[in-house]
Amino acid sequence: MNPRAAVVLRGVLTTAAVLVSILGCGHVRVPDGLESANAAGRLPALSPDYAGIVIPPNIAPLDFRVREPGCAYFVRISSSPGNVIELLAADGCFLIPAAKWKTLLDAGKGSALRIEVFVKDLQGAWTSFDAIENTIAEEPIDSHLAYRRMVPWYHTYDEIGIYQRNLESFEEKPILKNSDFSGHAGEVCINCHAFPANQPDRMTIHARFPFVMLLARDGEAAPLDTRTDINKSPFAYTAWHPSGRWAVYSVNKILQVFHTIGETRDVLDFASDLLIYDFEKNTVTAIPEISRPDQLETFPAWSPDGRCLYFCRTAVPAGEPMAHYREVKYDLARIQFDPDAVSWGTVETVLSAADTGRSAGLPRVSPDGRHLLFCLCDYGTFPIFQTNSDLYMLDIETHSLERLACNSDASEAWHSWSANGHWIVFSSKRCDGLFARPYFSYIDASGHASKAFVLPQKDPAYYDAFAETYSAPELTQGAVTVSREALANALRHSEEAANVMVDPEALKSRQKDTGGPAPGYGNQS
Amino acid sequence: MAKRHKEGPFLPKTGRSTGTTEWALAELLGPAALYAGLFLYLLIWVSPVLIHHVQEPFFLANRSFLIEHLARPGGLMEYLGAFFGLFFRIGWAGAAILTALTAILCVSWRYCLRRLGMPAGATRHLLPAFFVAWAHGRYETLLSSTAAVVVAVVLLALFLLVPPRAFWPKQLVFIPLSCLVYSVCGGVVVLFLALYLFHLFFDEAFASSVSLKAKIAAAAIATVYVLALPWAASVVYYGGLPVIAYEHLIPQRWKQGVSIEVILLESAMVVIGLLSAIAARHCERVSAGPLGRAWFAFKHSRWAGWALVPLTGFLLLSCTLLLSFNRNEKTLVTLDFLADSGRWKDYLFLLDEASSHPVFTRPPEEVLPDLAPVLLNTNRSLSHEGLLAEKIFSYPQTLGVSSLLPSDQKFCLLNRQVLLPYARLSFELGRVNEAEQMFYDAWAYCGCRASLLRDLARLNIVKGRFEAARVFLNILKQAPFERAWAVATEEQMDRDPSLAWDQRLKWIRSCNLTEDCVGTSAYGAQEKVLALLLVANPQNKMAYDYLMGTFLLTGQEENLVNYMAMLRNFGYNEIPRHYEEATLAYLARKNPMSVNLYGYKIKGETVRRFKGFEDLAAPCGGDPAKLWSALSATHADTYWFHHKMGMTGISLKNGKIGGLAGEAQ
Repeated sequence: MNPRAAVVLRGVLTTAAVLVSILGCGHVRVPDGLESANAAGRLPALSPDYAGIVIPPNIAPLDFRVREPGCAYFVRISSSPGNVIELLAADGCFLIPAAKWKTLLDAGKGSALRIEVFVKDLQGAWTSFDAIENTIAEEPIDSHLAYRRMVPWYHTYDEIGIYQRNLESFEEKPILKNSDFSGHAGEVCINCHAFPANQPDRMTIHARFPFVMLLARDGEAAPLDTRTDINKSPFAYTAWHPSGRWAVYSVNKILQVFHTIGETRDVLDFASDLLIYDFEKNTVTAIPEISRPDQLETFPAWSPDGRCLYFCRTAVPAGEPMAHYREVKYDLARIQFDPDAVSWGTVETVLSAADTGRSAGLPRVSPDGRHLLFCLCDYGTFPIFQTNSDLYMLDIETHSLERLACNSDASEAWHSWSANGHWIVFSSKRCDGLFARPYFSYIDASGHASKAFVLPQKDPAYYDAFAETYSAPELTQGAVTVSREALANALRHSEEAANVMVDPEALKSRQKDTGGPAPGYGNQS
Repeated sequence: MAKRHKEGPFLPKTGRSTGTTEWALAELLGPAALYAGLFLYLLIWVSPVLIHHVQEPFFLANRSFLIEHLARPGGLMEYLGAFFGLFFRIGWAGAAILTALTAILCVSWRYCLRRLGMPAGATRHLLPAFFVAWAHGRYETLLSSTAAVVVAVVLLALFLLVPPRAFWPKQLVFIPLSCLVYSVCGGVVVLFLALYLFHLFFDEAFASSVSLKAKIAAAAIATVYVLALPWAASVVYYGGLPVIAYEHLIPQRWKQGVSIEVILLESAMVVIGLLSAIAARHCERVSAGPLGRAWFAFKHSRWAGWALVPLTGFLLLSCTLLLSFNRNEKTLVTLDFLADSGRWKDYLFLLDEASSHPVFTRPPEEVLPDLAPVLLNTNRSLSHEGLLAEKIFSYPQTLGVSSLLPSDQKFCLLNRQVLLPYARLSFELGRVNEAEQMFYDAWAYCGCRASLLRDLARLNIVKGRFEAARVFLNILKQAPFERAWAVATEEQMDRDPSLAWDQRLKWIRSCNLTEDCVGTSAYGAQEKVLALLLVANPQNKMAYDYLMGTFLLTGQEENLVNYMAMLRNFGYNEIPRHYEEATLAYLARKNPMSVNLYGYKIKGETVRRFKGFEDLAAPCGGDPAKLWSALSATHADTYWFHHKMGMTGISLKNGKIGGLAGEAQ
């Protein structure tokens, strides 16, 4: 027989065998010749990269594709003796059966997850690769992930949606889409979704054009106009107090700017303050210590006990802000708060930009209050647009600072903690430098991070042809309870939005105005 | 009975002999001629290639794309419309698709009308063909909208044709069928309902033995049910918002506008259906009068009935169709198509032929959205043809510097047709970051299209973001007609990610800026960025043309003279015409000895023309009307004229002077 024809025939037969295996009883027959497979002496190339990672015991199947040349592929996934999944594929794409995967993870909590990969070449010889050793953590991750997903729009936008994904399956549902406003996308920008302590029953979402904040509680949603006499700009970055009674908001006068080389986009903050909003009284108050006229304060984050507010601040730059934007570097700071007396302490610097030489952003305190996760980038307040943005962990007790092992050469930002403090999720552009994807990393008791892995998708090649970016991934301990309909109705009735009132005391203490609501200003995420 | 059987079991008596050869020929040849005419009209007058250019439907041959479409009412038609719309890039294929759809529509519609009482020889079932032709001649009617109407009418005809025959079982079939129509065709379900109601009340074969009360009950049930369908769909698809679901019943045109054309098509069908039903019932009464008798006698005479009346009608309709065709719209679309295809010579040729186009003759503020891309592409064409320095004032530069490079972000966002050509121009200039921004802005405006993804893939290759480029290539690999290019590019990237052999990309990479120029808008700081482009690559002739063009349009003579030092970089042995004019104007105000012309000399002819200009201008003082009158005949296409009047005095037709000057007087 013609050798070429023989190869083709062999390929056809292998494919047929694979199909029979898959369509048959679900049981995969282990191919002959694996015992005598040649050892490659290296790990196989997998896409996505699921090698050497720690995974939650409740994560959806990590479907993957073997990126090694071959005409047949066999994998054996095992967690403990007797718990094995064996799969055969002609194209190297492995879609792991969900039920078997769940059993495998349940049985293997705290132990290793071993992936053995065998590839058959065109001559019919099998090659075995070094086994991939992952770890199944004891601690589960929160069941849902909320994020904003969109094409990386600039001035104008089309579809933007805030979605939630069940991490235990592949189910993704929209929480709210901008097309819900009028039936057509592109009229409203929705952004900055925030939850108190990973609880999905309360949340806020901001919208631009109209400027409105959607407040969702107990399955109902209402629009709020957050612009008041003391803040002409609407609320932006949110930090819910653990009690749920207050939230601290930044009000920012930010502007999208453009570079002619390198990363095209950037966001500069020309004025910002922190305000506290009382959900019970519907009043906003400016706290003199964190809304100083000589400082820019932003990125609020509460400690889990609600007694300390972390944030970032820097001195208002002298001169033309556009000319000196690279010199603007933010410190990490904190201020004590007494929830009983509703009184504030004094601001103390936690990490100075003068010491790091870099700008701190997006602080998030771990649920046990011990670690502070934040970004360090070269300047300013928009790390996702800076390639050098990395995640750092500060041990609040020992003040030791560590650049996390889950970083890459690309931008990392928009991180959040799981409720149990053992998982973080963040946006990273490591795949291609353009589209941010959600990555997960396990955090051990010492605050060290494991190698990150991307949000699994049913189709292993999903991200290869997906031109949308994920921003602000937030872990929640369940599905969002408010319906899309309720949120959309609130958005559509934005003209009926209740006005946030200014606490009378705040007006007296207000020392400066943060700036006007010029079109285009608002929260960019 | 035999005759009735010949015409079909449920068709009404026609009262006309249908067995003759003439009748058979007329039945066959009439529609055939109409479809042939329609095909030619679409192919030659409308040009499906231009429809494709305007809409550029985006289709991916993968499961998730299909599922995404199936999930919403009317999604399947959008899916099929996007697929078949791809073939409009081949002119004859596009015309054939539309003609075939029209033929199917007319045949199905004929059956429905005959059930309502239309006589066998009547031709009114062919009328929708004119509406389809008219709708697609306006370039923004979506194929999916027309196809939805066709499918709805076909399903109605099948519904009438096939069992069950009994009244109530038929009503039961209507329930899932209308749901199917709504799922597949979306808002056309309203037309489906309307036509169904006609049959309910007027179709003898359909419900003759049923009481009026039963018919009213069935109609009420059907109406309530169909009108409740969007509400039900809103729970599943529209985020629980019925308002949005009902809004989606309205047919859409390209880029989310209401499609008046499809609404008219549907309305016409409703009116024709209604009139047919009424006419059939009142036929005898009308024909009893003297006028009615005369008309019926004439209509049923051999030639008048079968040829003269329909032919006259169709001739009149054809003339109406041709006269109503918007040639101005076609010109604009063709210009955009030529620029998009890089056919610069053809562009300028067509532009010269289109001098009487309203975009040039009406006040700019009235035609700004159309004018902005035309002027942008005109200067782009001139630059590609190496004529910008010689002929910039031979074309209207009504928008000043924005005719060259829109410097105002708001301007671009208000005139979004300019975004895509401007993005491509920026990329050609080497303004890669600005191009990236504008490609995404264009994407938000005109939707995802394969050509734009191709642009983004190439842009990311230039930027060194190879993996991002592969994302766009991977999408294109799933798009019919794009796969070959995407696969070839990916294979080339496997060998060399930067595609160093690609001369165009190599050139753009060599033009890339080396200095960051941060700003609040990519649409601003034009001169600074153009100057930086020349610093990055002194051989960037396009950047030089545009920088000098900016100086010409803004009267920056000193800057222009200073930049003449670079003329030799581009092989000029003498100063190009408009640069020479600006230099001369500058020299007239300065000490000529103090101005460095870098070895170039002003030609004597230019000096004489300038003197002539000054002689003519001097007696006019500052009076614009007098200046127009004195100068437009001889100096309308000069820098001096533009500098003095703030606009060129050029009418495009054959380079003749007039137009604007005449208006000014």
